[in-house]
Amino acid sequence: MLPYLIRRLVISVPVLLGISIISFVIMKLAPGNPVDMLIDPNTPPELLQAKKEMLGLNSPFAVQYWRWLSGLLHGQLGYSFSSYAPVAHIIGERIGPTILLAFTALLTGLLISIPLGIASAIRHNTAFDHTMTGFAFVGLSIPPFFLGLGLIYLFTLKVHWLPTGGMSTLGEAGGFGDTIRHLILPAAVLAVGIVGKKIRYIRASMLDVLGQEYLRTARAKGVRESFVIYKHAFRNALLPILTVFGTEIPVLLGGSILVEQIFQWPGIGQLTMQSILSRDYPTLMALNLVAAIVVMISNLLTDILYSIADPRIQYR
Amino acid sequence: MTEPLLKIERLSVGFRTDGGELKAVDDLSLTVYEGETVCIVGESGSGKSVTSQSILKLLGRNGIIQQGEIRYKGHNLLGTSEQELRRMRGKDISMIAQEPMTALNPVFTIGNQLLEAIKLHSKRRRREAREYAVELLRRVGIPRPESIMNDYPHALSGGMRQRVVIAMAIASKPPLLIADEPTTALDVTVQAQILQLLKKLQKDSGTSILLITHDLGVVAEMADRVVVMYAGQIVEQADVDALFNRPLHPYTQGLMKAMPTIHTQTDEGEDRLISIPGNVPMLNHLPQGCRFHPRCPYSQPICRQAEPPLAAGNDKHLVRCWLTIPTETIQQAAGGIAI
Repeated sequence: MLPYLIRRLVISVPVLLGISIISFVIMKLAPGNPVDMLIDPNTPPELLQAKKEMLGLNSPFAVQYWRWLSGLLHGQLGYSFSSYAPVAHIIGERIGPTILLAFTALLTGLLISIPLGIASAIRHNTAFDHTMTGFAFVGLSIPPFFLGLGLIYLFTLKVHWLPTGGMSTLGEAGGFGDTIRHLILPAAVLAVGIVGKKIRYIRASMLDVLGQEYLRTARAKGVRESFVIYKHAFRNALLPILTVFGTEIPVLLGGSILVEQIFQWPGIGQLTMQSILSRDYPTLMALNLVAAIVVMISNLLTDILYSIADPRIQYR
Repeated sequence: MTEPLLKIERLSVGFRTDGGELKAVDDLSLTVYEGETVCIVGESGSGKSVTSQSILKLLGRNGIIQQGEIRYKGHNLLGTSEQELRRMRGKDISMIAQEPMTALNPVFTIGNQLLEAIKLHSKRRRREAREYAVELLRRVGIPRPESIMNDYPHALSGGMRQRVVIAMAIASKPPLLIADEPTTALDVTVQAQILQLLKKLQKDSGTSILLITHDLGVVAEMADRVVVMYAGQIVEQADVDALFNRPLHPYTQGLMKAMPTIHTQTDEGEDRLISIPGNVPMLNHLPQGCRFHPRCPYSQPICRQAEPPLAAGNDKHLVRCWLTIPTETIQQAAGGIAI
């Protein structure tokens, strides 16, 4: 297992390098540049030129990339073009809220979709099953921005139970309860999407397992039905489910861009949006790197979990 | 004779399908006495597995027992609550499944699955249970049982897995063992070993075995009595010697002829196997009259018109065929159907 992990980590280095080159190229090819975004267009061109020179935007492409890369190798992610704060510091500030949001959504999604998916499979082709499949379809098809606005309308404007956005009430001490109140709506929007997708996966995976011969063996031994389902069947149904939950983490990160925007959640998603709009190259490069690392780590994590869950899979 | 261990009476089992309810087992009666091996023989789709699964009500969601009684030691299993039935499964009646490759749960160790079977029906402590599990594995002929306990099923060969399944089935010393094609998926040499093992276990503990098979070789090896099934019905039932010496039903005769032997020769002197023409009829397209008549070389007009009864020949040899019933009897009963 350990040699396998080391190999996987070593392989990831050239992959990350490739990703960084590609994203650098795409970023540079995109129209507009940071100076145009930052400064009033009526400023004299000499000043704009000086500003560009200062930010190092006049050097050849390869030199700019090399500067970024050697900075990275020295542990420097550079400074933001728009706020002049160290990028590492900005991201460090934003990553906490995003992790909180993503994992609340993932956990909620799991806790709802697993029992419902299993129940749906057990009651295959009954009214309950059809209702669940219908709900899953709605959850899957409803656009997050629409759901988000709908929830804000309902829970904030109509019944005044929850805040419209942000992470804490302005002018108050905040605290745990306050954060939770702000977390509910954005997490719910992300969770609905997860539940919609996962109910179907879990149902299908469970249906596959329910026809297996070893369940008859278990029943023939005298195992009680709940054990047959939750011990014998679910452990096997878990295998394909694990794979899709692993890939769900990067999707959550992408989904949070929209949701964080709607609910002004001060996380990575919102930062990404702001950085794109202001062509903040150093921040964007760092965000790309973070996203690539998250994808790789979740894939690796999935593989490791898979080998733990399924004894037939061994990595050498 | 004493009371039978298992007595199935007039059992009919149906399956819900998109095209309505299909009758997979029709009016089946059989008995298994203590220490006896009864074989159910038939082709795929004859209803033999369904019969075995309905005994412990393990038919799956689409199976329905339509009528009949299944008595175990005089106790009607069909009237028994699910909870009570669960306590009987594995303790009074055990099942050995057809496919050793899929009968064990791939994500749990052999020890885990064996211990589960042991602990469900006994109050052994952890260590005792483990020792007993190792002992069981040794009894079914598994080498290095201690280390096998920690292995997962995928590490074992088909024959070894079937031995594990048997070890699980005999863990609580059940008086009745139902084995559904226990050797079908195995190599011939391994088949012989598994059959020997079952015989030995039966001799040691006096277990009754209800053995489902399509292999007449297995029947000859194992059975005391034989039930031949065709399209959901019993067509012939007899002691093993009587059946092999004088098969009465044309289907049984066909099965015997289809059995390869070293001396198999046709009339022309060629070494060719004889087969029964045609296929087992679909349950939703059963022929009128005798269910076997479209494939029967001796088919008569009456065979197409009326279903023959399962009637006793000499001794306890039962057969469902018009040819074995004297013409006068038929004419009386049928009121003048031309033969």
